Amino acid sequence: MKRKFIESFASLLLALLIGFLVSAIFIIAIGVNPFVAYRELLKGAFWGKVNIIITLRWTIPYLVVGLASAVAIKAGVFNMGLDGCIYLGALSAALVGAYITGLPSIIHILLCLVVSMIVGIIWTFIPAWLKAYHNINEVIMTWMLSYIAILLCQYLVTNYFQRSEDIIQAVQQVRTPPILDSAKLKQIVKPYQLSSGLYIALFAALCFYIFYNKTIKGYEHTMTGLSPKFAEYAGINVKKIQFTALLSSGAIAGLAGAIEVLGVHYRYIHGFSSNMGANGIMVSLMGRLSPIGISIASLFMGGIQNGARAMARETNVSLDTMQIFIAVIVICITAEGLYEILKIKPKMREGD
Amino acid sequence: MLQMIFNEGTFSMGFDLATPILLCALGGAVCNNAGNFNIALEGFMLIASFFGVVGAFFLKSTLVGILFAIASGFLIAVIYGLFRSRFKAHEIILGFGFNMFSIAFTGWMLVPILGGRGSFYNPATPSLSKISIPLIRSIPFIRILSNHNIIVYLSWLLIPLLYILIYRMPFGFKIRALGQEPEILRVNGLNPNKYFYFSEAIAGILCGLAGAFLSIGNLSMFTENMTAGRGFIAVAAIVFANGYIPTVGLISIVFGIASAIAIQLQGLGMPTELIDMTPYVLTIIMLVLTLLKKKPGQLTN
Repeated sequence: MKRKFIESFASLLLALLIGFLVSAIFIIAIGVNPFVAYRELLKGAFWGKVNIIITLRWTIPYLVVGLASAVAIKAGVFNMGLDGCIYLGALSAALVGAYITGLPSIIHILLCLVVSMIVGIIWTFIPAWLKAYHNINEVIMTWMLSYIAILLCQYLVTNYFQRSEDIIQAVQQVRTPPILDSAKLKQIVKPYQLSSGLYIALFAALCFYIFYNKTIKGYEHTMTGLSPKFAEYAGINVKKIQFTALLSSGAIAGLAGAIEVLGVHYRYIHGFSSNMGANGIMVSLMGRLSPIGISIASLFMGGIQNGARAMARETNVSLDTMQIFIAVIVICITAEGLYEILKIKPKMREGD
Repeated sequence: MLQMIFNEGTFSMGFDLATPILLCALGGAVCNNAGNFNIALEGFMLIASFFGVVGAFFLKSTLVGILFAIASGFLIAVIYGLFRSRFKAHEIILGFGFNMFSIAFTGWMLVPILGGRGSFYNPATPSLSKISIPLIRSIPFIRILSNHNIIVYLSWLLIPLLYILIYRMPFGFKIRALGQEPEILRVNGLNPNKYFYFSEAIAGILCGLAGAFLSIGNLSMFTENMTAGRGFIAVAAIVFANGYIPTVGLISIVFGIASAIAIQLQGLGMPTELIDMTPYVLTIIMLVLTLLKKKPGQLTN
């Protein structure tokens, strides 16, 4: 067990190292010293109170999206359509927040969150049902539905929910009216964007921990993910598990969108999530699907997100460089063979 | 109104729209026969389309553009193969990572190499000329087959060629044996990894052609993420046809014509967002239609 942990940690470090090396090539290519660039990245992410607060602000959505992705992968299915659920969750939360009046704050916030989760469930219902009961590939299905969801949000907002006074000519943002004060999440530290969504995210991580480590249902999910055939023999309803796993994944992704709207933007702005779904999948993989791992990975991701901006400001290394970094990590993170190459092979000497 | 949608122009446009999907799907079908469910086709195609326009712009030759595209597609596919077979990365996550990488990589390269942010268009870049076939071009309706560029005809030619290669030649038997049971190859003293790389290389070359078609086939230009989900449509076609090459080809062409019809609907005042959805909606319909087929123990991933 301990050895396995060390191995998994070492291969994670190796993926990180390769990521840093590959992006260093791109940084050198534009004539910047990579050490200077990475120093700016680190400084921008974790140096000083303000930077840490903003890093935490980015940690919130990544933590929630990471959990959403992990819930599906735990049960051996993939939800590639996280972005779609994030957008739909955000839009529904923004609409509930803006148009339903006269509720006490706490109920209003809860209503927004619940509605966004329900919308996430509805959107993943079709791929989940088709995957579980008809064995239709969920990867392509959720991915396609994600594109559709984003276009649908754009269509709905431009045609039905955008008031003329919300249109700023200069930026041409597609956006809804602002949400009411009663639906806003409180800021933890006053002038900054860090909202009490952090507690919601941590609560979600806690629920995740309890579900997978303390309940029988959670164990059934894990077992289905490890080996569906074995789970089937053990009398577990594999189809139902896959079905519920995908639905919960959609619900949590919707929640992530809602937290972004209620805690940061206070309205739905089209294009607010920059690659959040894809990066969330990376977070769940880096965190090795464990709640503590995902929390640390999301803090890392939040740091990258915040630090990359500082790096772009100071050294003119573009944000795409960090996206390359993330992609390289995703490519390397499941590649067990990379780690095996590093190991000295004692077997060889025994005449293998 | 029907006249406006179903005319010769629609079908002719449909063939053009089908070409990148067809090429990608054929490449992916070879991978599928070799037992690899490859969702990185989109990424291969995007990188190839970038280098296609780079080659055509700097050396002012469409042939160089195509060669650049094929070479880059080949290279990235072999790297994919390396990670999949040598480093044993997870199929879906690896493909996902490659797609992410290609978007970020082309977005990054766009700035220093072509000097544009988000998109690149320079009228000095050559693009492939349309081939007008004598005789055929003057027959009504049949003339939709004329006036396409070389890659379109090549893609049609590739359907029978790949069919022969995969189902009628020893090389193809080995590829398919790899997909069924890699041990068969090993028992016969062959290296399964070698055939895996071959299948990836074919996919890379075909996706390279598809990328070249996108970037220099019509208007020579590159925009960020210009493949816009075509690779996934190809994957859906492969899933639908269960990797059988003739069906994959047919489905892709039908798909292209369906997209052309959707584009004609835009002229009738449908909102752009809804028109933009059609490829994704058609992909989903195609996947759902696989339900209708009989499936006696077929290979599904």
